[in-house]
Amino acid sequence: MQYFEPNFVDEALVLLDRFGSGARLLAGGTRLGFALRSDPRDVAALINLKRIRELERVEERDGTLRIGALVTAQRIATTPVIREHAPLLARAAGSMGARQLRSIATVGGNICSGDPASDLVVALVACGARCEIAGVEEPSRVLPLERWLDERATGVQAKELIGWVHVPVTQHVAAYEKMTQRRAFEMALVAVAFRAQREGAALRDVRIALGGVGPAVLRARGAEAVLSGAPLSAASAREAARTAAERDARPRDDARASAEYRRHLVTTLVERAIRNACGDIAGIAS
Amino acid sequence: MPERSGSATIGSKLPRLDSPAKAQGQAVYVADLQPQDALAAALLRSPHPFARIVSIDIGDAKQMPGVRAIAYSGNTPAKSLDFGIKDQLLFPRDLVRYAGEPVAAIAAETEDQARAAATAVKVAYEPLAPVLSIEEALAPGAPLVHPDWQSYEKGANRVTDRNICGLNRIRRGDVTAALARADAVVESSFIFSAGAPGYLEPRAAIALREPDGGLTVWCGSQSPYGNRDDLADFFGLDPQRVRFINQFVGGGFGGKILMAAEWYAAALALQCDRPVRLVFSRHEDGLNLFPRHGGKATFRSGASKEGRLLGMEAAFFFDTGAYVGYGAGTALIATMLASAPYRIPAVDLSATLVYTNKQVAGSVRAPGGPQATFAKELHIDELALALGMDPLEFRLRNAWQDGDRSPTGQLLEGVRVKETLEEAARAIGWEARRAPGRGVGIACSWWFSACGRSEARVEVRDDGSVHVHSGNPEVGTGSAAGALPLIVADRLGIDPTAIVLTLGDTATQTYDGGVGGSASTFSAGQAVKAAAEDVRRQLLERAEEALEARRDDIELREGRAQVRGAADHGIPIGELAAQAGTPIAGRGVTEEISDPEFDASLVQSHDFASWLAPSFVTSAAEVEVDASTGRVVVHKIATAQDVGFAVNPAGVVGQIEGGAVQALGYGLCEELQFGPAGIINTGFHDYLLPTIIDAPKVEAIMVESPSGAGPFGMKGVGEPPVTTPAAAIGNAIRNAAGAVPYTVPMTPERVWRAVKDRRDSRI
Amino acid sequence: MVEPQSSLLSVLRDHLKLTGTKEGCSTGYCGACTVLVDGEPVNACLFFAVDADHRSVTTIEGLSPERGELHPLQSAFIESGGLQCGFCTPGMIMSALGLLLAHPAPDEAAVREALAGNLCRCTGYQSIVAGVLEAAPKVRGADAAPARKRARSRA
Ligand SMILES: Cc1cc2nc3c(=O)[nH]c(=O)nc-3n(C[C@H](O)[C@H](O)[C@H](O)COP(=O)(O)OP(=O)(O)OC[C@H]3O[C@@H](n4cnc5c(N)ncnc54)[C@H](O)[C@@H]3O)c2cc1C
Repeated sequence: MQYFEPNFVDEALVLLDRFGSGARLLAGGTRLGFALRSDPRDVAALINLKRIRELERVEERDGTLRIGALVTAQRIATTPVIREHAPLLARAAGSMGARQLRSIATVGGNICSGDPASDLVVALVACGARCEIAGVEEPSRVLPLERWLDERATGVQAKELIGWVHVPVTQHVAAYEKMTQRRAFEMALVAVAFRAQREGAALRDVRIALGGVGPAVLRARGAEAVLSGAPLSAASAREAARTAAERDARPRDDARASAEYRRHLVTTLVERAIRNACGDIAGIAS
Repeated sequence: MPERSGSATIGSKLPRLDSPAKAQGQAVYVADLQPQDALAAALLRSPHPFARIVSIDIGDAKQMPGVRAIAYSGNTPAKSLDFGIKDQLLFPRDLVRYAGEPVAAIAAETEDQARAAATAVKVAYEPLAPVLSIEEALAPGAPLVHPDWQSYEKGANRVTDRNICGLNRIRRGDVTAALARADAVVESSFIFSAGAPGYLEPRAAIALREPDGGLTVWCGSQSPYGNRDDLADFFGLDPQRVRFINQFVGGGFGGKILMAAEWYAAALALQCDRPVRLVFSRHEDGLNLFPRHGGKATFRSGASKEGRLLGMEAAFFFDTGAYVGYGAGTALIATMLASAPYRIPAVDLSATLVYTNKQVAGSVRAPGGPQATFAKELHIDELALALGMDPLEFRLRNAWQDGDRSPTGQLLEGVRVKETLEEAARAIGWEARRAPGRGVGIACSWWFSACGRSEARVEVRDDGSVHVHSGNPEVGTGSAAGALPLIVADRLGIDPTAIVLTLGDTATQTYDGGVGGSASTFSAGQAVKAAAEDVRRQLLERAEEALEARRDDIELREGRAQVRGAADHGIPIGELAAQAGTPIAGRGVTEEISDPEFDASLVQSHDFASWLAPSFVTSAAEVEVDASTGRVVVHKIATAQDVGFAVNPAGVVGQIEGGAVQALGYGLCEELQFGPAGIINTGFHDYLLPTIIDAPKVEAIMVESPSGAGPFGMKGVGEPPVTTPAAAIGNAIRNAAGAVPYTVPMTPERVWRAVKDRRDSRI
Repeated sequence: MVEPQSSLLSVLRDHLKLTGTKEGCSTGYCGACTVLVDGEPVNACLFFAVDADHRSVTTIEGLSPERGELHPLQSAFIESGGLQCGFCTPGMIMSALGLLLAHPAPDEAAVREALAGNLCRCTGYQSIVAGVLEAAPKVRGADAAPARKRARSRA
């Protein structure tokens, strides 16, 4: 195995091009390490991204929060601009694993791990995040995170890397709800992120993301439609929660929980998220 | 009252002697030993839960680079291990009986080479339909886990019948008649999941064949002497030439009583002349761990409307896995706990042990305790509720008192059930009003003190140092590193921190039965006390001469022998040893304590029908239940425990606090899961131990009622505190949410379902 | 041989023979191998050794270098009974140190939050929390940033 420490994104891309499917990008390594150590045989090149300083940056510019792919969960949870403009994301990051893990795990690595219950992805999808992708063929493209996840699931983009994550900065209300079996240090059974813009008693641009109830993180589009544009009420919150559970979620039985229970959690957590985000709207807070 | 003497250090709070080394990372555990020339070992394990071994071919593996030894059924003794039923071989020959069962061991220059060679061992299997549950095992025509069960040698009280490998029963009075007379009768069924011991240090061992034909094994065991004897016996070695050197042990909880890594490292070391080092990964450790028994139970009991218990039927079934191992204890203890600590005139209590194609269940801390206590205490609450009685009041009304008899007819003395109930209830605020969603629960039980053979040596050297050798290993409980030095310090009037301890090294020739059955301080404490008293006597004798004083006037204090009231008229004890020209040494051995009497006509095939120096324990819990997710937050656990006499209070508190959280894990989140291909969750990401966030406030209350048998009147303390908290949590959940799952662990999903089912049934 | 994929844990334990840092699970789910890298707690089993290059790594051995002299956190764990089998202790102490370097006066909730990734099977955690709270004022006084001062080690 050859080992590289490129200093610039372009250098990393050249290496990706050169080694093709034998290349592995190393960010925090919390996901990659285990596989690499138990069977390093078909890895020709390990490309450590951590010398690429620009991927460590967090900045707010032109109404967009730009977070470098190497930013760790701990920094996301604690960096003031993120806490100010995307508190939902900071919360989700702070609920990931435990302190030690958060020092290492990066947002880029987390997105690329493709985990259907990833706290960060659930939060980012609800935030309407976009990925800035650097590739050999096409220098840079920006696309919605969900699109990129879809593409990745279908196996394209081997010669690309995530450079930055863009989160739009707007006035909004938001909440994050995560259910686990024990009370900490565990991947979500179900995670729900809710974000919307308030216009009086009505909600606009509602985004609800669900983790743990499908092959990937899902948008609860049915539930979003229930809430969008209409005045929020206890009944509509309940209706949205039911829609999320019955129409949007696609849970399956597994060793940790039954599909039925996960579906029920979606109902409870979506309703709770709406209430926590919009608690001051009459009739919503219980 | 227990006698105190010298510096009166027993009963005082002493930080354990090993704590500075541990806090500095200097304590050496087996995996920290990395001998320069060690070979690395790897195991080949069965991928099938049940399969016939058609053939094993090690030819190719032997030729692999770096390979130095391969051990398997073809080159190790065909002798059965003896656990009361001779049903197990070191390496399987005809059948593999659980997925993960080691089939061969390989030693090579590097770990990678050993692993590569393991995959090159060719085993031809013919997979068989596995038996993966008690129901499957007991179904008519079920495949037999041990087709040859009838030919196995077994002990007198062992019952075997196809997939059954144990059955015991306690019967007194006429239960049917008693229940017919009862004003309220309830029946409840419970399911217990299997659990892992959960020690943080995966098991490991290093073995080296010595030039004289002997063998040295570096281990991290709860029972180095017992292991040595078993290993020597199996390989036909002289036990005196086999030396087990115990290192610090990163937790045992019953999971390190029987050997695992030691067997394979030793089998390989006997084939080569270099140390063989086998360190399990967490995953491998999980593949042949000794779990806490899963199982099920059905209870039926009745009481009069005045709240008197009249009769109880209880039937337990425990899934003991592929071999009987130490499984019998769980079933024996379960029947002893089933109706205790309550006066019930008529009982019929039975426990059946069942073979399945799973990991071999063992003696995890308080084997059978959490299971039986969970079932009986939730059942008792159900009965109290059926009678419309307060559960605490119901328990107090039926609790054993001095002079009562246990279900097997043992006379009970020094009974402290009431005190522990009252103390725990007070600590939790039983009567307090609580917010909606909050609730309290209580559960009580009893336990035994075990007394095994133990030997100790205490030695005062001419430099004044005091050396203590005990065979009792320190696995974390603080018995050996905390209580034993206190006892010696007390007898010799010295500062306990000045003691040099050598523990669990068989070269010191101080046999000890090991850590298990809450026996450590009880047994080793007696031996150490006797040894220290022997030394004390010798010191006083010598001081009599040296100080020209009457023996009765001399006291041992602060490392000196001195005339009472005349501190300047004395001599350091090291000086006495110097004058003697040799260390002043004493040996101590536990005295045989016979088990209390019981009525043999009340039991069937029961090897554990009376309990020595029994203790009593109650836990109360306060919980908050989020009924819409099933999430349970435990705010507090209060455990009141009759410890006899707390030799080392810091150690006792540590056992109670730790026991509470271990029991919380048992009750709420720990569950070994099995799929068609065997155990699923071997890791800490999927087998969930409680974290510091899950851990509640724990209040430890010591009730002291000295026993007649233990040193200073003490009783075993390690196991009782893990038996009651899960049951208290269960009862608190019902109190808070109106329903509780009768399945442990009470995961959020199960709690949610229990509450929902109750709601649904009311509509 | 140190390889590009080697974990910091294997370099510490197998190459540098610093065995105070324990290996409990190798998956990041027990915390026994926690060390500080530039003052931040990390799981040494997950952390790539190559990423420790030119950064300061503090292990339990670095806390009380002079024989017999204990770090306030070590003394507090001993006094409070915050250790039994001792296997989680080095990692637990390193996590606690990481917390106290960043937050010199944490409350109980902050202590629990910081130690959520360190499993202990023996103590029930209560004595550990007590130990950390007790040590906090002393750590504040004693060494504000031992990790940063320590010689930059090349793993
Ligand atoms: C103990 C533990 C607890 C955990 N708990 C949680 C939890 O509670 N919630 C949760 O959501 N997750 C949890 N996780 C998962 C964790 O968040 C991910 O492992 C982590 O975020 C991955 O990031 P990394 O930087 O370590 O990625 P790496 O392991 O370095 O990389 C992961 C994958 O992404 C690729 N990659 C990395 N960066 C890029 C990039 N910029 N562009 C393209 N490809 C890239 C790598 O090549 C690799 O294939 C846990 C993991 C562990 C080990």
